[in-house]
Amino acid sequence: MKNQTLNNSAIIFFGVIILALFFNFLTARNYNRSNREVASRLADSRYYDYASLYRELEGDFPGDDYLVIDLRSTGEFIKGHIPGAVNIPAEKILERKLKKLTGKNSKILLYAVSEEKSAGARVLLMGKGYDNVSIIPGGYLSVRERVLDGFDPSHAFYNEDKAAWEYQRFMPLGKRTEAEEGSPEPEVPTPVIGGC
Amino acid sequence: MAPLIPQGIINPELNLIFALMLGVGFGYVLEQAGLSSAQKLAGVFYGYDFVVLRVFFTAGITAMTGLLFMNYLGWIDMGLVYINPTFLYSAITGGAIMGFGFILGGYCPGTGIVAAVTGKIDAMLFVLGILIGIFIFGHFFEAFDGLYTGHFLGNIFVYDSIGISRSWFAVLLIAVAITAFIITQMIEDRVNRAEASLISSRPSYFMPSFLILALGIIYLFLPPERASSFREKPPEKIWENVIAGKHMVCPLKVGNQIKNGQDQLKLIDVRSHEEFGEFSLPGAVNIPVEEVLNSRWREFFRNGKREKVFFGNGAGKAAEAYITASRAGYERVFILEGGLNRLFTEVFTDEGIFDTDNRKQARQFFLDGGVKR
Repeated sequence: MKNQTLNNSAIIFFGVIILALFFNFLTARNYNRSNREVASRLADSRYYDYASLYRELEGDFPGDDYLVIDLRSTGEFIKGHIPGAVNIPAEKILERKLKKLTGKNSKILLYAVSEEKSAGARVLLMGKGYDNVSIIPGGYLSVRERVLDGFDPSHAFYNEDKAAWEYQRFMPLGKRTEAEEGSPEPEVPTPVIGGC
Repeated sequence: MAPLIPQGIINPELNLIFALMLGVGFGYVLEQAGLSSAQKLAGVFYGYDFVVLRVFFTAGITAMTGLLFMNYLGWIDMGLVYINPTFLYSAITGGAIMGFGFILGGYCPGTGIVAAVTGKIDAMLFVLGILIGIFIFGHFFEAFDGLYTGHFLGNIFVYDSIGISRSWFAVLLIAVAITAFIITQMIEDRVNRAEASLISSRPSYFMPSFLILALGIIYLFLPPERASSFREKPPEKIWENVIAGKHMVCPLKVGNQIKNGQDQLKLIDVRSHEEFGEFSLPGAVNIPVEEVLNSRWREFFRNGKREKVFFGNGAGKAAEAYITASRAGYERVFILEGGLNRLFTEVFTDEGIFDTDNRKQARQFFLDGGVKR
């Protein structure tokens, strides 16, 4: 009698696992790279820089295989875009099979209206399993102003994630000392000079 | 309930209730298996009864198989399961003391307590001995310290030390267990001089042994673990939000929240620890993108009452953290539009969406050192 219980529970244990495995294979596969791996790749990756983009546009890097994707709407794309860019509106970027557009090892460069959109698209594409996806820093307006309408070496490593103000000067984590208390009104901090 | 509580499936306050239920269940199983009898436990050493070995080996391989598959299916996160770190010297000493006590007393700690509860006087003395031992150890702990923490090896696994994969180790362990069942049965029969009729009338354990071995072999040939789990938000859903711009919080709202000290938003600084050390917005926590998925922030992100707003100097790094957090299934996360650069440009220059009064107040707030007076 006891053995019957053991047999039954063993069969249930086995059955549940097999069924779960079966359904696991049936469910849709949303991502090809785990979230953790994407996050750790993000931590030690850098964006493309304007200096390379400028030299690329000047034709200094022959042989390098790049695909520049414009994530803005078609209307905006027609008005002006980075030479050589392909227009895939943001809504369609996840549906398109980018592998067909690019060579096997070529790099994909994204840009959009603003950096937050291209950076977001990059994370999703990395999760989908694409390697070598990078973004051009800033939005299209920033690229036009700093590269297309005349390149200035001071913008070579333009980075929107660089502090535009000297933050530490006007709010040192609320730890103001007594001595500073009596000092005259602090001046409005000056923007960091150079860079951007 | 280690994996369920950190996952937020069970309220941590129920922890002790579950501990009680599991404890009662464990005690029941031990008693049912007959392990509250010192004769049965001592039987392992004399060779007339191996039920202890069989119970614990069965429990071990069943739990192992269940954990392996649940981990594979993404039902539990093995990263959250506590693994006892190995201190070699104390493990050896502890093993020797435990083994000696096992032979001497006829119980191991769990079965000793079960037997004491069933009213066995020797077990009560055994439990008393355990308590005295704990007292002595606690009192003279400092003297034992070198031994206790000696030769720390970290969280090491048998399969890493002998250089085989986890799945092969699982199959081998199942095979070893089944072999042990057969051999111990044979030893038992010889020692007890069992009659042939008894042996032939014994129930067959072929079915459970076969099924567990089959599961082990299936695990061996499973394709690599899937990168996405069913708990994650699909990319299309995340991207829909981004295109609709629903993921952005306006600097005006954040500025007002900071200077009024309201607690509706929780600010998350995605910049590096160094930058955070120099300056951050009041009340912000520092979670760079590579730390978003750390288990220590799980509770924080699962708190549904607050809107969690990522910010960096610009918006790019915040967007990366936002996508990572959304994919992990965290709800009500946002990005500060334009980041700190935009916020402070709004506050300290006369352009943008802040109206004059707001800008003046915010400017004064930050110039005063960001502390409400």
